[in-house]
Amino acid sequence: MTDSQFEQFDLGNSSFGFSAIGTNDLEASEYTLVTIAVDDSTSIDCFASAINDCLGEIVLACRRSQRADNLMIRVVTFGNTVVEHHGFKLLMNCAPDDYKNCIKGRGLTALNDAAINAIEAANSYAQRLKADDYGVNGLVVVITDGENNHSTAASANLVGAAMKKVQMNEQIDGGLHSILIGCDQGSGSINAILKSWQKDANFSQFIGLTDVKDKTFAKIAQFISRSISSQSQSLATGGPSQALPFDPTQNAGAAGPSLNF
Amino acid sequence: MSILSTDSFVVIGGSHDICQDYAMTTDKSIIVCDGCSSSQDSDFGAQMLARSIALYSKSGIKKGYTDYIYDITCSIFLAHKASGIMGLPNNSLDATLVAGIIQENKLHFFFAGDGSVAWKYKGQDANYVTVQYCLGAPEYLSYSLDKARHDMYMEVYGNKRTIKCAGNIEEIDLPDVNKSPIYCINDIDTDDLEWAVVFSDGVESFQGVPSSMVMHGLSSFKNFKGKFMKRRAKRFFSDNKTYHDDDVACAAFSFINE
Repeated sequence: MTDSQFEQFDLGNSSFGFSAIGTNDLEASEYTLVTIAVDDSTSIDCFASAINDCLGEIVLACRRSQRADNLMIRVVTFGNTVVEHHGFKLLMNCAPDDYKNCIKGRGLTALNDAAINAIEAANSYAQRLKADDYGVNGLVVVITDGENNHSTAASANLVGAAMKKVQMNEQIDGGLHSILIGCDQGSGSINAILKSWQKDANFSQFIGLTDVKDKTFAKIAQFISRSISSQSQSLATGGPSQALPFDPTQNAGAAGPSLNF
Repeated sequence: MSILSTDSFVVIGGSHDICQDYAMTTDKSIIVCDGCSSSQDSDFGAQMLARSIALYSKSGIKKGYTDYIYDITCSIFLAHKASGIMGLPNNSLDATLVAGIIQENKLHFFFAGDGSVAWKYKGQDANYVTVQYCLGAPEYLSYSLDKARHDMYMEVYGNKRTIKCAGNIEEIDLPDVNKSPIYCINDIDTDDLEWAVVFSDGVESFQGVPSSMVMHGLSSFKNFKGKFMKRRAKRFFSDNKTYHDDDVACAAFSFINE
């Protein structure tokens, strides 16, 4: 898929827009919009390769599902600013190799801006899809190893306000489920701050991981794939979104990912 | 240049355990069959009838709509043979039919029993036609398999159908002089046609909502890409959570200009 097939969208007050494929190219009747926002600050540099592999693993796992044709993915990174790695595009047009150089590990942490952009972009594109009769729900996943320290949006409350606005407008039929994954490289002090951020930001779920290593990201890939599966299923059945538990003991990669599509 | 695409949608009615409506499309036909709820295995019968009509409509060289009327008449015998092989009772084929078939640049609609059709030209309002039968007892094609059954039907109900329409056509444009089981609206020009839809009579079963509104809602397409009929129907049912006790089936053509 070439860049020329993406349409560019502004997000009103936000200085960060988003891109997405036009609705003329969509053949299914409903879509789950998945946004993965990944920390690209200097401190994550040591895990850059593992995170790139993690993103590739998510795409690979989801491509094997029966609901693969009903998934769209957008990936953004955030360091000093929010950068869109690619806009909303059909999962089947994503390849694991697309993420080989996604994370470079440079800059500070624009967590608030990235979260707001992810929420507003998903909501805006969902509205567009809904106007063309597509059923739609959404999943936003934010992965970070540190607290916000470089956003134009100064506080997590602004993220919370953006999330509340989406929930009240009810434009996303099946709702927007949101997960914050805290990758604390130490013993948990950062996760305590991120837990508080989650509450202020009105995120649905917080997964706090400590003593993070490379192999942790393989488990994260599995967890995100299962969460995508769950959100896609709730769109198909009309049931509510469900928060899945993160099981650190689950053997990542053994006998393939455990997906319930 | 117009490109023809098709799609269909079926949903079970609130009072049914099994969906007895069936909808299918081919590259040149859209077909909906509605099995009689009091006839055993009519869910199978509806599907077999639809598939045999699809087979016949693709075979041979057709000169006009009368050839399709002949095919539809014959299709019940093919369906009967198939149902016999599967050990299904004769009355499993008690099913109505509404079909739209494209031949060259003409669209023909066929009814065997009750149902509705709609079609729209670019820049014009849509046309809707509904065929209904006296006392809700349609003349099934399957009656032609059993003379005694057919005679009894004619004695009690007769071939009394009413035709209602809305849009740019008037009832005088839709004569019913042919008293065969098959009612036909033929030779609709496909030039500048935007879409055409066939509906089972389930559109009449929405509580408090007239069928015209249901058909209008189901045919208010936003675009015609991919599963356009399913998309529209799912959105319609999601936005209008009105109880309908009968199954609803619809199948559509779209004519997209490139």
